[in-house]
Order: sequence, then C-alpha cells, then structure tokens
Amino acid sequence: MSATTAVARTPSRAGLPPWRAAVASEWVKARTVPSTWTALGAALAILVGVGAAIAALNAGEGSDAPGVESVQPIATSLSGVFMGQVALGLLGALLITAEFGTGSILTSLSAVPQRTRLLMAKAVILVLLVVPTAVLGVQLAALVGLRILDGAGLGQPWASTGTQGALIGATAYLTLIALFGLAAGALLRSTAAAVIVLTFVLFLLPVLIGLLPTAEDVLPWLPSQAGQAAFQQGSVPGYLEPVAGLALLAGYTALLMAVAVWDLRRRDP
Amino acid sequence: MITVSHLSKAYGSQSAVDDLSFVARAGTVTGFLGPNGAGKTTTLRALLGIVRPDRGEALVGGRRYADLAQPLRTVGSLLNARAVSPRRSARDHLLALAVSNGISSSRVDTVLDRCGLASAAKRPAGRFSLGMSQRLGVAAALLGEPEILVLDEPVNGLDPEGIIWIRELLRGLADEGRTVLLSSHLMGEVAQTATDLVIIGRGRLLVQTSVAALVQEVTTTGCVVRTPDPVRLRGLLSDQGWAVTPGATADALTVSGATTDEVGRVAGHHHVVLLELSPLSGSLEDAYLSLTGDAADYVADAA
Repeated sequence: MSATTAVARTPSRAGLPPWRAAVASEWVKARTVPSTWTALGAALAILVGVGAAIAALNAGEGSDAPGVESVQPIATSLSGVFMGQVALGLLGALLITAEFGTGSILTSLSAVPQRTRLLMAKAVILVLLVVPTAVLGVQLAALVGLRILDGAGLGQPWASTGTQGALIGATAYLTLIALFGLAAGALLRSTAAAVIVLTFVLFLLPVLIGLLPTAEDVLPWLPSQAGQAAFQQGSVPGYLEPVAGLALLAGYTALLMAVAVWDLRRRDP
Repeated sequence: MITVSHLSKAYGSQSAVDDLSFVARAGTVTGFLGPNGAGKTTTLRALLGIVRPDRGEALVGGRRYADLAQPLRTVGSLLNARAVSPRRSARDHLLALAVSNGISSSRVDTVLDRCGLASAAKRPAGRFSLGMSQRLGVAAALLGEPEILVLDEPVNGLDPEGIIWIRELLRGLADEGRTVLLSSHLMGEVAQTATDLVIIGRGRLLVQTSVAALVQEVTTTGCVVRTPDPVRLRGLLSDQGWAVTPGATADALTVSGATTDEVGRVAGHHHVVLLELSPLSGSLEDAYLSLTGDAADYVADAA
C-alpha cells in the first residue's frame, strides 16, 4: 500500500459530471460507426421516398375514383413511416446489441460500471439522433406528399389545422419506436433477436390479432396501432385518439425500458 | 493493491470460483496462473465489477470497482483484445473510453504512441492483427494512468518483439509503484515478467508464492545416478536420510533432496563406481504442471 504514494501523478478528477461524460462517450461511439449514419439515411430516404410514391399512386387514381373521400392526405404522405420505423428501431437496438455482439460491452462496462447510466446515456443519444432525422423526414414527406395529392385535388392545405399536430405525432411515434428497439436490444442482447421481435410487434402482431373475431376491440391497443393513432386526423375507426394512443405507446416503451434496466443490472454479460 | 477475499461464484450448479483469496501488492507484477477453466476470467471479471460474486469480495485499492466514479483512472484492464467494434478506428475507440472518464484526448495520442500504434490510429480496429489488437487493448488499459492494471493473457498473439515490449512495459509500471495483475495459462510467459505468483485450479487457490521461491523449490529437487551396484548405493544414500527411488533403467536411481556434489562425495567415500551423475533439473513449468495436474485433469474429464 505504501508504494501507492509513488503513483501520485495519477491525474486528478476532471471533466464532465459522470452522467454527461457517459452521454458524451455514447455520442463518440454512435458517430464513429457507419451503421448509425446508414440507418438514419435509410430512414430519411424511406420516409420521403415511400410517402411520395404512395401519394403519387393515390393521385394517379384521381379525385373521381370511388372511395377517395377516405383518402387521408397526411396519413398517405406518411406511408413511409411503416418501413422507416424499422430502420430507426434497428438503430436503437444496434446501439447496444452491437456491443454484445463484439464483446465490447465489457469495455463499456469497465468505463461506466453503472449499468442504468450506460443504458440511459444510449437512450439520450438515440433521441438526439432520431428526433432531427424524424422531423426532417416527416416534414419533407408531408411537403412532397401533400403537393402531389393537391395536384390531383386530394390534398389539404399545408397550413390547415391539424397538419403540424399530425407531423409532430409521427415524429414522436418514430422516436418511441427507436427507444422500443433500444430496450428490446438491451433485453435480448442480440441484433437478430431484436429485429425479429421488432418486426413481430410492428407487423405480424396486428395481422395475427386481425384474425381474431374480437379484433376490433384489441387492435387499437397494440403498440403499433396505438402509436400510429398519433398521425391520424380526426376520429378514425380502429385507432385511439391521437394523444391517448401516443401515451399508450410511451407507456409500453417505458415498461420495456424498465424491464431492460432491471435485467441489465441483474444479469451479468 | 488488489484484495480478493473468500470470492465464490457459481454458474447454475457449476462452481467457477470457490472461496478464493489472494493479494496482489503494489509495486509488483503478480502472475495469475491456472489451466483453462480454472476460474481466472471469472475472478478478473469480478474484480472489474462485471460479474457479481455470490459470496466474498474482490477489491481494487480497497474499493469495489462499481463504486469508482472514474474507474479507468484507478484500474486499467484488458479482458479481450478482440472485443472492439470492427468498423471504429483505434483512436475513436480510445476516445470514447477517454471521454467517459474525463481523460483528455491528448492522452489518447500519448498511449497510441507508447503502444506503437500512432501510424495505425485511424485504421478500423477490426482490420488489426491479433498482436496489434493486444497493443490497442494495452493502450486502453494505460489510458487513465491507473495505479492498478488487470490484464488477461496480454501476451497472446504478440510477436517476439511485442513480447519483450510488454514485459518491459509491465515491469516498468510495477517499478513506478503500480499493481500489475497478469493472467496466463502458461508459466513460461509469467515467470519472465512476474515476481509474485497466484496459482489457481478448479476455482480454488493452489498456492500464492513468488517466482524466486518456486525456482528455489524446483532447482533443489535432486539428482539421477547410475551405478553397476544400485542395491548397495541405494542403501548408502538412504542412510544419509535422502529419499531414493529406482530410476528409469535397472542401474539408475533417483535421489530426492540431495545435490550431485553430496551424492558424489558419498559414493567416493565408499568406493562405489558411478556411471552417471546428473542433477534432476526441474523446471517452473514442471512445478506448475504438478500443482495444477489434478485441476487440469478434472477440466479435461468434464469436457
């Protein structure tokens, strides 16, 4: 023990408070792997590209086609959300499953042994990455989609009431799905397993529930359906009210995140 | 200083570490030896707060690792050199670690340079050879100028030049007053670098000793002697209080606890003809193998 005095040049504590240091470290990690920018770029391209394509399809059928009164300009323009959410959910999962995959979770834990702090720092960086991407993607998709629909007499004015509300709802939905992916990744510790669970919850579960005789009563309460209520306009059958739906998805995500924290603290890597 | 006391950890019904206690002192390199599956990795993970012990504790500088606010400034570790994100550059890998513990980015460049990686700093770590990965792992361990270093098989994959480099590095760190715990399953590696030894098998402590003491023990083992009259010589040597057993051939004897000088003098005094007299040169490796033999067998059987 006496020899430790010889190591007096050990640097004094400095730098950011522990929480902010953990977040800053996660920022370095996220920005220095190509998969982060690939996922964000893919989400952006899907949001705008698929939205424009579906809007163009609807516009092609014209305003005289049967059933056009049911065309929802905003929801149609946001058709890219269904595929784009996968890229963002996968990004969330990858932030932690990539570390379990390579074993570098051990290095991460040696630097930040407080496991809750490590996971929450990832959540903060994920939100900081996803929100600007989702805002940009959703606004561009609406701008392009509404213009295409407007050309066919199906659009709604950009400035009309409810437009920005729906777009903010879609942004919040995409952000929650990314966090859902992170929580699933932390719990499953495998990229492949997280992808399977994400696609099951987002795509397969609504189809399976739809087969039930009581589907109408259950569907609105599913995570995907509840969250997607956020960008439906007015009362649409099969969806909860926008704010209620979003709150329900937030609740599901918070619950999964809480389970992930509990599991991470309890189960050694 | 590292203090492991009554550490126990089981995975299901399989015990990995069982009531293990040892100390690694500041200012020395302590070799942590045991066959594969002896519990070395579990012990090191417990030291680093990655594995929670069932019983007992593993302390670094008297504290639990998980209680350290900026752990990299107290303990530098290398567990698995290959456990890096393959697409991230070596410098960014170190930078992420540095930022998390409030270490300056200039320190990143210093350790890259010290570990001979300055020219490879911007290359993706996934394209590194095993030797370069080990150097990157050592660089990460040195980042916070820690007073304690915990290294799991750091020599693995290094070329001869790299092996000499790491030996000198670790001895230099110990000379500065730091605690260095160096695990290996090969005695040959550790004996060149360490002064203290902790040898475990089946999760239990087999012996805590020093390299010098173990050398002393094995080099005074005994000698082999051949004579046309083994029966008479055996009697004469046994009278001296030495343990004598038949050797590899009919005319050979193995004498324990006696040097060649002593055996030669007794034979000469009694005019016994000697055909051969040679020291029974035990090696550290032999001593290590005899200590861990049971544990290693158990591992082989269990597999």
